[in-house]
Amino acid sequence: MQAKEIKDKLKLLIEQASAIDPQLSKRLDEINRWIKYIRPGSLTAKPFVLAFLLEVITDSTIWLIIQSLPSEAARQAKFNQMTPNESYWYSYLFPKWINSTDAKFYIWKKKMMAGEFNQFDGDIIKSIAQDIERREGKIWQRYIADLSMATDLIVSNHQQKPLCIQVTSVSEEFHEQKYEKWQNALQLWEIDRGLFLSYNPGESDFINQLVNVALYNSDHLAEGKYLNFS
Amino acid sequence: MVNQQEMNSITQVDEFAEILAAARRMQQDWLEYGLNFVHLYVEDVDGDWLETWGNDEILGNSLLGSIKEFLVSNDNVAVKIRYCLGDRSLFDLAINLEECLRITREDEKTSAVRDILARHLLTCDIELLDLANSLVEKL
Repeated sequence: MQAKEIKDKLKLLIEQASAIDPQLSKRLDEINRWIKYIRPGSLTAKPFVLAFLLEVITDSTIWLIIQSLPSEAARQAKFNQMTPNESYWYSYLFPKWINSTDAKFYIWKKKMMAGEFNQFDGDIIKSIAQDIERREGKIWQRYIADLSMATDLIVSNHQQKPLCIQVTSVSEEFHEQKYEKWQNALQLWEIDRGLFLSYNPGESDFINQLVNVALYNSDHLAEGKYLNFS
Repeated sequence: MVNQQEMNSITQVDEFAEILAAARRMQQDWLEYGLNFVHLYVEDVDGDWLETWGNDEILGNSLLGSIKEFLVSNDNVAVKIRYCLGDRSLFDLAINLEECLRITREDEKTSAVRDILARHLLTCDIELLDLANSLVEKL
């Protein structure tokens, strides 16, 4: 597929959504309008924007199919076909994003336009995700969750209870403020528990350790808890 | 023979199963290749699609046009902003202001404009919130 076709798909979805979910149509229209202002400066800007668009298009298509179903029972049946992480995303967080206030929407628009994509953290997050899957846990990674909901991964384990986690390096300055900001973001989105994982890149085996903590807490962390692990 | 309603529902089931499978496949591709997974889906990732994204629309953007027109005018708010902006880009400021002005809630709009002014202006001897208020009124 050519990148230009993605733009055509986005425009088609804007039209389709206007009849089914006008708020989604508005969100997609905003994305279409502000993408032209992203500075293509950094090397990762283009792949990142494309990954984001592919995801938004896929998720919006899923949402529109579900929304066009005639009854609540039919919609619920679709969510039941999903894994717990997917269902948490498509039935809870994604609609929150669609219906978020303009101010919240603005936060991630700003981040994306400024090109705040960190490839190094991206590789760490991918390694954690791979390890979780190897150990038969489940992950769901969404760029929308990363940019607006301070969530790098949604993780679930034996209990099938999705947990939002954010991963950050301990060497970073203002660690405490960052933790508080993260907690506020989660509460703002009504995410009722979360795990803030700090790693020390100098330590060997830190991925394995982070995965242990993530899997354990996905099963055991109580609601209302925002755990800071470093 | 299946009736039309059953037919529709079969099509919908297939479409749903297909797109959910596609979402899962994309997730697996991300797991394997990281951000580079996009090369599996898009041939011209490094082409000029981002630079030319708005080419067919930018000329028709009347809100951006009126913001730019205001910012270069002799209105005292515009003069003040240009003075505080120094040699920074007026166009960049206009683009960011356009985004804020599309916000529907008035209080959110004004605070977003204030944040933009704080980011773009070098020094300013008047309260930014007052400046944001005057700007929102005039645009």
